[in-house]
Amino acid sequence: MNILKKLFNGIWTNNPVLIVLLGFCPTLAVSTSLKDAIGMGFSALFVLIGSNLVISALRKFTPKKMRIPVFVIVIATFVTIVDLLLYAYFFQLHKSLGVFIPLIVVNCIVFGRAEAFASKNALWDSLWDGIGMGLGFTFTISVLASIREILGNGTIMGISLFGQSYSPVIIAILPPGAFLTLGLMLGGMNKINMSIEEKRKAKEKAEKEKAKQLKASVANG
Amino acid sequence: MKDNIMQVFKLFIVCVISAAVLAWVYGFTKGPIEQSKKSETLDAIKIVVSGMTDEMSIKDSLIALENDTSKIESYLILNADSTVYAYSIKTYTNLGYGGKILIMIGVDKDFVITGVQPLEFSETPGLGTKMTKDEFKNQFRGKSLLNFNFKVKKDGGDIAAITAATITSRAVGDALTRGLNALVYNFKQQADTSALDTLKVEEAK
Repeated sequence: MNILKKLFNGIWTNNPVLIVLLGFCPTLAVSTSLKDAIGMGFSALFVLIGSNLVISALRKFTPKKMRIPVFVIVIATFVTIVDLLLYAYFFQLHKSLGVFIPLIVVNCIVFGRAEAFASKNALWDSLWDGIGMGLGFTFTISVLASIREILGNGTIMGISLFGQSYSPVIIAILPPGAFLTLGLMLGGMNKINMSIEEKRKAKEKAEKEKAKQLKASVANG
Repeated sequence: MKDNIMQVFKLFIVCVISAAVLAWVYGFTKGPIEQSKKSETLDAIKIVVSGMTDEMSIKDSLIALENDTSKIESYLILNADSTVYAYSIKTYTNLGYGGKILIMIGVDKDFVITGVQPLEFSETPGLGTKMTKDEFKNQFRGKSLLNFNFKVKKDGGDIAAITAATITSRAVGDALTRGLNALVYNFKQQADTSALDTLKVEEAK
């Protein structure tokens, strides 16, 4: 239950991109194709898990004044490991992600979780926080990339969807398309959350009224 | 004071451990990385040079450009009796829409193009990246510096440019010209005096 709640927290309630509004740089830049987006998402997931675990394990060892340099070193180490592993075993992916792998170092999501969560919480919680946030990031960037790839290139995972006759909406795959799509996603997310909130409030109100009526009828009776 | 020293010492320990882990990862990824780099080049050569067989060997050499100090990687594909079967060169241009473009060209021993394959580029997806499509690449097959003007039609050349990506097409032309010139400049005389001779015989007829 607790774990599921943590995962849901990362993917939806506190989605690092759509709610906390962190990590826009890779989200906008590496979402031209779903394949790259998934690669990017899982690389960030790996770094998040690794850095969250190590930073949580070191939270008593780390001097308070020295915490930022320690975080940076830990995160940079994991990013370099991902970089080397991708280069060695997923050469094509490494090539298409290019400079955005090293740039995970400055991905605010990783740093944000280190500072806000991992440095204050136990190992087990930090692990699931990392997984949840990483999946949230992967989920968001994958949805964005799917929309852009389908509209802008007529393909998904490189497989043609509409055949030769489809003339792609090129703007979707160009940088402005990333901003437009992400903006619409942010709006959609807010809309959904607002309607959920409204329903919850309406329900609460109805229950209160019911209770009042009940009280009144009891008093009258 | 003691606190300060302690802090520095702790940071130092974190650094040392990080460095050790990285050294370990670097150690076991080094081999596969070299391997994939090599096989990428090899795959590209196989795409651009048709009809390669297992007996052939590939020699790589850095060659100079005629009026440039930078060197380009080129590959000689040799028959079993070490005569030249084909050449291949990893040429480049800096005129791409997104900067540098690396292209592998394969030519037969008379410097006629047998294939081109863009390797690294950052062109606009959906526009400039169409240069990897066969419709664009195949127009260069069978062309050489002698029978083809490597400029887009808009500039008075022969390249049928990609729609809405003239800059990329122009850049490809630049890269091909550079590569072909480098190959001809470096290999023509030593390897193909025979080719020149046959030309003369034909003229005499």
